[in-house]
Amino acid sequence: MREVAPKNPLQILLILLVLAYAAALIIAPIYAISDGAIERGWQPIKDTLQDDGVQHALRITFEFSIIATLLNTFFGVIIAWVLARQRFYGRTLVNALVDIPFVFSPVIAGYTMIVLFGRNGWLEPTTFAIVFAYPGIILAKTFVALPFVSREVGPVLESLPIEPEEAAYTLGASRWGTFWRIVMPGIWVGVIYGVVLTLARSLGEFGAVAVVSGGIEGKTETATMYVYRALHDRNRIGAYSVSLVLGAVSVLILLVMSLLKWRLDRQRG
Amino acid sequence: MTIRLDHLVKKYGRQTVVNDVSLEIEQGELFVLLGASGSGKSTILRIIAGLTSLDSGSVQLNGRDVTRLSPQQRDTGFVFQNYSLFRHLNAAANIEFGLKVRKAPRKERQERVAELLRLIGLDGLGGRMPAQLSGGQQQRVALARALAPNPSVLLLDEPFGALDVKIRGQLRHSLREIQQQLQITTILVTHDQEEAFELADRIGIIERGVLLEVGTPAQLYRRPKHLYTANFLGTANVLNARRNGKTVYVDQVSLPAPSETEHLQNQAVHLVCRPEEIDLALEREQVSGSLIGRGRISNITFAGSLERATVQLIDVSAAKPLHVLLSPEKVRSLGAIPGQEVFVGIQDFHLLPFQEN
Amino acid sequence: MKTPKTLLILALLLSLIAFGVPTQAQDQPETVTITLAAYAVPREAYEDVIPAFQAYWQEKTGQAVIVQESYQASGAQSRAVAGGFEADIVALSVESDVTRLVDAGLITHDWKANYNGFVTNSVVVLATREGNPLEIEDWGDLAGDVEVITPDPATSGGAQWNILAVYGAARRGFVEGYAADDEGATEFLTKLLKNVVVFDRDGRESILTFEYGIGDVAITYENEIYAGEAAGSTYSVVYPTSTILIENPIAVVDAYVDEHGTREVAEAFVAFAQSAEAQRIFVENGFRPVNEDVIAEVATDEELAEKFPKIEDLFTIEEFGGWSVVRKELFGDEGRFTALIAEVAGE
Repeated sequence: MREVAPKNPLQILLILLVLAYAAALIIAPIYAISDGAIERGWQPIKDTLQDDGVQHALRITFEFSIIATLLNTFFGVIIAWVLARQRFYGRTLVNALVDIPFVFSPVIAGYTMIVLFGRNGWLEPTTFAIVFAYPGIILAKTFVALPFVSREVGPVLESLPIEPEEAAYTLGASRWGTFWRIVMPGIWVGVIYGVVLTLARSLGEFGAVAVVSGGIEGKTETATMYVYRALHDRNRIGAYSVSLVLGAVSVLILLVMSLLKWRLDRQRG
Repeated sequence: MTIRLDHLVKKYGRQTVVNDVSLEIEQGELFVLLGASGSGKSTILRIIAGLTSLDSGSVQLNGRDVTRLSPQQRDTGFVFQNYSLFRHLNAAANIEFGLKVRKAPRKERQERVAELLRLIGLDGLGGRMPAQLSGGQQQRVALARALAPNPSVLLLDEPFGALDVKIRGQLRHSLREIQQQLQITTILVTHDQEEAFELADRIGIIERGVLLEVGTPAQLYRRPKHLYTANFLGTANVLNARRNGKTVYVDQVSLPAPSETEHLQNQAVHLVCRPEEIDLALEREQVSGSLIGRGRISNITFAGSLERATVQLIDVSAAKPLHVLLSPEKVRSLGAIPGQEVFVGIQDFHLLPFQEN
Repeated sequence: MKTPKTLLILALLLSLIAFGVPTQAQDQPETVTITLAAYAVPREAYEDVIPAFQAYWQEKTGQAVIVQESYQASGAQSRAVAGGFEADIVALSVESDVTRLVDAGLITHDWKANYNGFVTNSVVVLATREGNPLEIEDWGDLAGDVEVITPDPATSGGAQWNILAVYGAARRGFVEGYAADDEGATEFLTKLLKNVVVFDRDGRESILTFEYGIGDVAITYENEIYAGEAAGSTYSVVYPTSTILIENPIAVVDAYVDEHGTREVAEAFVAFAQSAEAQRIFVENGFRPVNEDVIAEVATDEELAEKFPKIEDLFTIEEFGGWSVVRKELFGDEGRFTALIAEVAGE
């Protein structure tokens, strides 16, 4: 347990500043959205959320975000492990490449996907469509959130000594077994944060998805695209209601993951 | 032959960290690889375990060529300097790990864990997490973990390096006992010559990736084949000399040549002599060993049971000051004070071929 | 470490199950599906046009039509279709966005055969605050001490109409104090652009910005005014003496209808959108018609004539030599307006 030291005025001022900053940037918008949504009572919200198009948009948004998160978690952990534990030519390059989705504008990422997989693209698929179809949306969501898991796990992994892994090898454990039984327990917290960030980012993705999805209502329109269109159509309640659902789910994810982390910490003693 | 290393070579870029090392170790032997840090001794250990690849050469364990095998297939137990326990598993689970990997039956695993906990003197502490154990206890668990699957070879990389002096002594003792009880072929890497002397059946001296020489502790101390060994193991006084006939000439002083140095006939040599083999006396006749002339005491320091003196030779020009160990009785009889002139005798010495530096 | 592993697997299974459920009934022979890729503004109108078409087609052929709708900014929509978004029909804001698809080889027929390829018209107008407190009467007032809102022609194809309206009106001598030539028009446009406080991404965003209380006057389109008023917004609209006629194209995308086997129904949809029945729906939604019968109806109906007042000096894109010239020489990468806007925005 940390001791709570008596605070001097400067500390109190700093704490107030942080609280005010958080209030202005986080709480105020949430309040505004909630307020905007229930402006005319619950009925319009219910109507919005019962709309087939909205339900479909929410469903594909959640499903595809989960798929994107699973992909990014799996590959992100592997990327982090390879970068932290393997020495090979081009490692620095790969390390830099992982961050590209952070510095790339999502819209440009979307157009790049069209150039690659679209009509007359270099990698245009022949049997099924990628862009302007579900795979494109999943790919876009995956791309924009790609660095989170590896960037959360990487430093944790770097801080872990390599000897326990080597000890496991000499004790006969395979690479996969060592990874799962020795490495993973050490990086769970990083993975959890990575998953939270990845999922939140995938859920909220707009720019890249808007470019590659085609935005067909009730088909390839995601929740964020619906929000954007609803605002365009002066349907503020629709926009706020769906925003509220997205926000609530993000908060829920955060809570569940925090709970999981808390349990892990307690297990560890 | 339990371990046989043939011409091991390992390079990192242009630097050769292991240079043509060959070695044979007998069943049940406790072999110590001794060298300064960065000498490549740990790399050799890691090559044996398969944790570091090698550029050329071969490793045989129990007559089986394991050079191309993964660490998992080599059947070695490895103990690291920093304990390296699995932080999320308790002591018992750490020890059990290798057995679980081998899918040993549950009952067998439990029995083996209990047996090992007893062996390392941590009976009843199996439920503790690593963070709840002291450094010494953690290293005991690490030893038990390495021993659990009954490896054919035990490899220890500076296992006591992170512990304080007292615990280190206790652990050395335990290790020696356990090793003798189990008769497991063991290689221990250390930079601590005291540790090497205490534990080793044989010692191998490593310098800059080269295995200089191998021998029992006494052989290496008294009759080293290399000047490096002489200097690395304890303190050595080294004088430039020349062997002619049955005589060794140190400047103008002549001493009888040891018979086993016949091969250095008519050569410039180093005369190597341990501090405890030098005698000082006030009268020429009282000196034991071969007289090397007069000297002047320049410094005396208290060193516990013995006192350490430095003596500058007067009759030998260009000689470095000699390090001498004196008993309290000797100091009293000499009435030794800095500046005093004494006669210097050498009781036992050894010749090595001359080399620059 | 059982829990996280199990969770992960569970999540994977759930998502796969959910993903595997078909999201839409497969097309039966008596059903045909077409995709309409339109710009964002006429969405409300198409919500009425589409059911009317579905009823018409069902009656005519006995076949049910499912129309999948996608609404995005005109330029973005055009690029998406060019990049492989397989829309059967495009309804866009500016002709040049259709030309892009012709250039891409996706539209191969003479899409300008009927009504010159257009489906709706409108005019560039000014929206001021209710009661027009600054007494803005015409283009000339926009160069004074006012804050102007107009979308960014770099991202919004439709925004180019506004620039053309301003420039054209000045060059035709309808802005006092500026020479009726390229030089005078450029001078006026520069002055006006300096008063622009927000360049939004598209026309709808621009008028929404104005509704949120920013700016004194918004350069917008007549149909946007009616759409806003239908949603409860209030502005005072000002019709400039001289302005440009906005012409919105519609076209069947040959490459995709042939791939989907939907040419017949797609062509019928376009023809229907230009028919009197659909044109009346567009008129209701604030668009000016292209169909000659409906144009005549509007001219004779007192209420409708007031809804779409006659503009004293109405010019078209031909004033500038057509879209191919405009696209290249004015709004292209090295176009005159592109450079001018970059210069003004850079200050």
